Amino acid sequence: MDKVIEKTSKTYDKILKEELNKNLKNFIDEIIDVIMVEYDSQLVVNDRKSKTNPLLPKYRDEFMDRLIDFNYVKETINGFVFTAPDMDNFDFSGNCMGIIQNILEGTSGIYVEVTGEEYEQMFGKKRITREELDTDLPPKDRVYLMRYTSNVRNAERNVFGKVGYLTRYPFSNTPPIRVLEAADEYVNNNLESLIDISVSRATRRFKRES
Amino acid sequence: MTSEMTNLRKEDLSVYYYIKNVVLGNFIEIDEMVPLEFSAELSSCNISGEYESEVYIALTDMLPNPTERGRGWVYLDPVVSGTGCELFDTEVGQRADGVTVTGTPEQSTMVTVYEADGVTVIPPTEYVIDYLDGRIVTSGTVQPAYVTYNWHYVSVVDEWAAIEAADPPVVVIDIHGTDIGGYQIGPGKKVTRKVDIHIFASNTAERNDLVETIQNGLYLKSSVLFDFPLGTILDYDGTWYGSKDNPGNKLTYLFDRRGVSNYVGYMNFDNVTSRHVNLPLLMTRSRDEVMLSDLNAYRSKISFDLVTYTKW
Repeated sequence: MDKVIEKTSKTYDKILKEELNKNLKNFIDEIIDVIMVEYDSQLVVNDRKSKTNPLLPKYRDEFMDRLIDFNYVKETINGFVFTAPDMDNFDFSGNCMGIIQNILEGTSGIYVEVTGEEYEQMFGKKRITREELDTDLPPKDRVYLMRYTSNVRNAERNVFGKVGYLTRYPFSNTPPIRVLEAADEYVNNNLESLIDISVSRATRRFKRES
Repeated sequence: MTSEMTNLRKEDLSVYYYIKNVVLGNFIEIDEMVPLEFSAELSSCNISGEYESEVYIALTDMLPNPTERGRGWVYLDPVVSGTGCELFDTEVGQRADGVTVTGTPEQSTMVTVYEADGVTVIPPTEYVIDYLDGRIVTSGTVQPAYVTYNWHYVSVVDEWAAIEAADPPVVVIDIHGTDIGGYQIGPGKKVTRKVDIHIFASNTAERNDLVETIQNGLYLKSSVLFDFPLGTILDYDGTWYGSKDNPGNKLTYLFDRRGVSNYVGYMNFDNVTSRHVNLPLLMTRSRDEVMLSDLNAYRSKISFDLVTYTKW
């Protein structure tokens, strides 16, 4: 008798897992859509010269790729744990993700965009930095953000002939933009019903197949 | 038409006072024997050309500037009784309109004004203090020459745009979302506000101190939600509310610390978490300059839920 129960239980678990996986795939696609809608509507830049425009394909595509690669479902002994991307667990490392991280975390103060080449022209030596914002470009084309201090303004005027030559970072003095929070809200509102649907489908399938 | 403050505004102000005066109560510095300079521009005359009020400005070279936005001179005495969560000591007295209230008087130990000899203390009944701009206002009966005052080392502001107006450390309180739900059969709401506190420090050590202090000040803690029936503690011009009208009797003007009547209990701080924010920003050229000017170099964020229960 015990063996029968055990076998039945395993069969049901297997079916439920399949149904959950099937539904979760769609659910994850929906989450990505929700985040990208927020991304496209909130991260709008009007300055065409800006090299840090998050709607440029290289930034947008990279962000979307990271969303697709995100580990939403972690299997455990008793089932699975579903995690939505947030500022703590999302991977902002490498490539051009530094720009996106800056925007989403918010930036205090006025900053300008400076390439490696412009920095050398202004200060006569290579840039010093903790981390590049965009590592997939050659060093002279990489974009950095510099606080727009009087030193920078003087160097800009001396080298490029006018103040205002450098492009102002469009997200200067901007509070955090909570693009990823849309995912959290979506999960809170919909995950329970997704599980309910998966369970009822699995139950129906189990009855049919057994 | 009269309008009362909304609940959100009262909660925002109450959190502000709790963070500034209780949680960061130890982040207070003293500036001693600072010269006072008479300002003819700010002083006002009566019809016969005599000064009606004389304004003296404190000339300090302290950095960060004690009167930058979000700082200011300390206007409350340290708490000497009650619990660790107690915002202020209380007294029972009469408000300006004669109503008896339980409230908190203006400080009596945090600012001292001296005459030109640098020894004789001018009685506090002879002047009014502008706590935001660091000024002493007299009616011309005394000539203040020096001031010793305590000031808030950490700038506490409630809007992102104000961060740049002060040198670090700066703390920003940002209430950015609200969830409302029921909590009982019948009337009443459970209101959960999403709050972020952004910390902008001038070095790693300072950032760590602030994060730990604020997080400990919120974790498993609650605070009184004030009603502010006569407005905030300080008037629009930085003076203690009502003190201009009767500087001779400061007890006449108490900050009415009445709690709001349509709430159940205090404000609770739930789900308190913190994390450092390390942004890949280009540093300015000199290390010293970075330490003083790059607001984003040493950042941290504390997130929590501010939970209140309303009666209706």
